[in-house]
Amino acid sequence: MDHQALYERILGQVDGQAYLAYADAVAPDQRAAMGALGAQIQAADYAPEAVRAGARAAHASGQIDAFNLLSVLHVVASSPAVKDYGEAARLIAEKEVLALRMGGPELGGRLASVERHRGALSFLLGNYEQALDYFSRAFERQRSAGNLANVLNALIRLGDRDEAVELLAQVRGGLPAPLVRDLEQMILTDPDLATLRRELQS
Amino acid sequence: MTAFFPAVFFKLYAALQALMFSGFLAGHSLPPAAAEASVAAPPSAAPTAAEDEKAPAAGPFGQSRLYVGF
Repeated sequence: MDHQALYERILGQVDGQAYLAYADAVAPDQRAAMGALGAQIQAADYAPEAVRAGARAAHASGQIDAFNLLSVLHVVASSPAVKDYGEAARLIAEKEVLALRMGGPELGGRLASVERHRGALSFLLGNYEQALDYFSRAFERQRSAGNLANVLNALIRLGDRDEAVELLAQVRGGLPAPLVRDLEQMILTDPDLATLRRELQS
Repeated sequence: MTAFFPAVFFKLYAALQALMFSGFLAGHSLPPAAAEASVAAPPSAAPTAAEDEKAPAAGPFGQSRLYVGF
């Protein structure tokens, strides 16, 4: 992979006004319902069918829109308890079509969600190089520490720790402080990024 | 769609064998620090310096994290 091109793509997207703190793709009026569904997926007694039913009910009652319904269904499909990757991929495609049909100012955020989910699916299937490309695209659409952390995770999985270190140095030297702070917090708490902790001392 | 979700990037523990489910989704409706705290050890409980240098766990009980989100 051409890492220099990757850096240029990532760093070229950011300026002092670009940071969206954990930016994202769920409208404020849908946060509560989505948060509740997320908590169910995170729970120890997670029941995929119950979450699916809950998401459909939330959509039927107008608490979440169709795009977010598909997102929940995708996350459930790709979760370790389900591992229905074919269904997960189908839902990604359905999300993309819906996002394009919906259009509007939220299109970029929705497409970032699509790219991120593509990256996650690639990662889950062990194709880290493709995941790296998708995660980079997600960051291009949505500047967030989470998207950068995914890029670093993919680089480490590829065995490219040196490149991850270099990218981290560039990020810390050139991106807005809030994004850097959030990313550093992830490195301090995420076991997969632990190999980068020493770099934070410099 | 406005900037929102302090953690739309849910932590997906993609355990290939072991289902590290406690971390599948970070509390995405929480502020970033709280969200992380809900699924990950605080910095004070972070691995030692020696552990820091370890590569991510691999094998049947290996796990990886992704910031998935909705």
